Amino acid sequence: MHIREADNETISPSQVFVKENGGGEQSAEASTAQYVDDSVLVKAAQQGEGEAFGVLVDRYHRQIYGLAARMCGQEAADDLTQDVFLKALDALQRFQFHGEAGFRTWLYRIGVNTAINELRQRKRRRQMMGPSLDEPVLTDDGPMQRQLSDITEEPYRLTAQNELQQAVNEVLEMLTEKQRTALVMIDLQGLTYEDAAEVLNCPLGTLKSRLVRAREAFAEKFREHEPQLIPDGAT
Amino acid sequence: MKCRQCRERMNLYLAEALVGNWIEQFEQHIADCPDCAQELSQEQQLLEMLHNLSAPTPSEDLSTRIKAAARVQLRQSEAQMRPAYYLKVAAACAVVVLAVGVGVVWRAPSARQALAPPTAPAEMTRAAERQPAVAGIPTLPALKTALAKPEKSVETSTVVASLPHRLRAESATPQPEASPPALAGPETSGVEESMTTEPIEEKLIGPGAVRLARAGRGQMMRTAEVRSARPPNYLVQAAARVDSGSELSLANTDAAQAAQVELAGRTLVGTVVANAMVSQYVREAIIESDETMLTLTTSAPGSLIEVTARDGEAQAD
Repeated sequence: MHIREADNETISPSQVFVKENGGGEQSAEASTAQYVDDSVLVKAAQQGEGEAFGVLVDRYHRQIYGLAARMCGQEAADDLTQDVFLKALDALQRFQFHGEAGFRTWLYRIGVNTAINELRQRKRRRQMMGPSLDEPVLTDDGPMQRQLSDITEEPYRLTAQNELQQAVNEVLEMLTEKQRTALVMIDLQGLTYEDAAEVLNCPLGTLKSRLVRAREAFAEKFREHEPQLIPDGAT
Repeated sequence: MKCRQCRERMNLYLAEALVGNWIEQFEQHIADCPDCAQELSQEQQLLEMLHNLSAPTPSEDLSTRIKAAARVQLRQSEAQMRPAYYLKVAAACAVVVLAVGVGVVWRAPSARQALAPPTAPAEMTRAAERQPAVAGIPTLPALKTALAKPEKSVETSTVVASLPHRLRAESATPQPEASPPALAGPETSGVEESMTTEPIEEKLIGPGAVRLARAGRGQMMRTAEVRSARPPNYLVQAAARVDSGSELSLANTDAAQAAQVELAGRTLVGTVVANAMVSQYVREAIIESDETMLTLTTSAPGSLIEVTARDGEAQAD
């Protein structure tokens, strides 16, 4: 994480929150401080400063949403993201900074666990109730939706990026839970190996080993199911 | 290095997991072998495609919604903590008032005379201990007990999560018993019971699913989630989030079923307490991660799951 120290160490967190929250009133101190360290915000939130937690939500909700969307699909990502932050709020008093283990890593850990729980619950539901009519059918040509999209509700043509995104998500669903987690965190969310290992609470070697297997599996399935989307020269 | 070895190590190389002189050998082979070089390039391009994929974008109001939900949660948490806090304060005040009152009485010569003859301190104490409680003044042994043993049960909390009656009535599966039994924790105090028997929130989270959420002492959040499914495979899940380092015991209805409870990979406590009135069992009781999410799954409707969380000494890493 690249964190710049606040310019004025005497600024109280609440003076800066206004700025990050996009509020109308900005103190003179706030204009000099561009970034408040997570540790300051967490301590303020632990002392009951609701606004401090709000800044942390503003700062990280996109990342957690990205993680949730890539792990569980975009339709569930909003609720999962909210769950993650509410769990974090619930457990905030027990959070402590240990060395380099930061708030973001901790939040990611809650995010990964929440996403994995969601996947397991879905799996149990499928086992209990049989396949959902909303789920894609696996065919020789790859996953296929049972119901055609209503094109009147969507843009006529998906952009190439959206099409690619959808294809990647479909292939991600074919990976195992561990493979998907490793690939999403490192190759899609851009976490460093060290941060990802910290999130998953596993040794660096284990993380890399999972990543290698995940990349191999992803490449194999992507080439098999989405050959038309392989970048030129990567076929 | 041969081409086969090179290809086997390609993803290791890209994940910076290749070690020792394999790195040099790999790079040398890539420099000498155009086929392997091309394959490496393909793998790199596929990775770049993933790295360059745009991030999914949340709706604009997601942050606002999360913050609003957080405010609600904080208010609920405070409301739950308040009675316990006042009870603690009241108990502490009572002890202090009692102690001060006894001190004043004890120092007053008339009271001293009333309680014990003017003898040596040891004899005085023994004499006082022999005195019966008169005129509202407690005996010394009773005071010693009151002052030496603060109520430990204050740190214990118990929640009983049961199927809502409405859902139970709708279930097509025959009920194993007419009514679910009340599972009383062995260390449950009256205070805690009064705190935990009234759900603070009951929210529909989907078809046939109800979530009961309660924030209790020590910021514990417990939920009981009920999912309806076709009988006889009726699935009931209850989840409890507890403080890391808490000592857990699980109570359900079939003693034959073992439950495993792990906290950050360390087994703490896992018990299934027998209850003869209903025949369900804990299928799974595993804290799935060091986030300490405990999931209990039972097999039948009319389920009653009791989770007891107590502050423990073990600390999760």
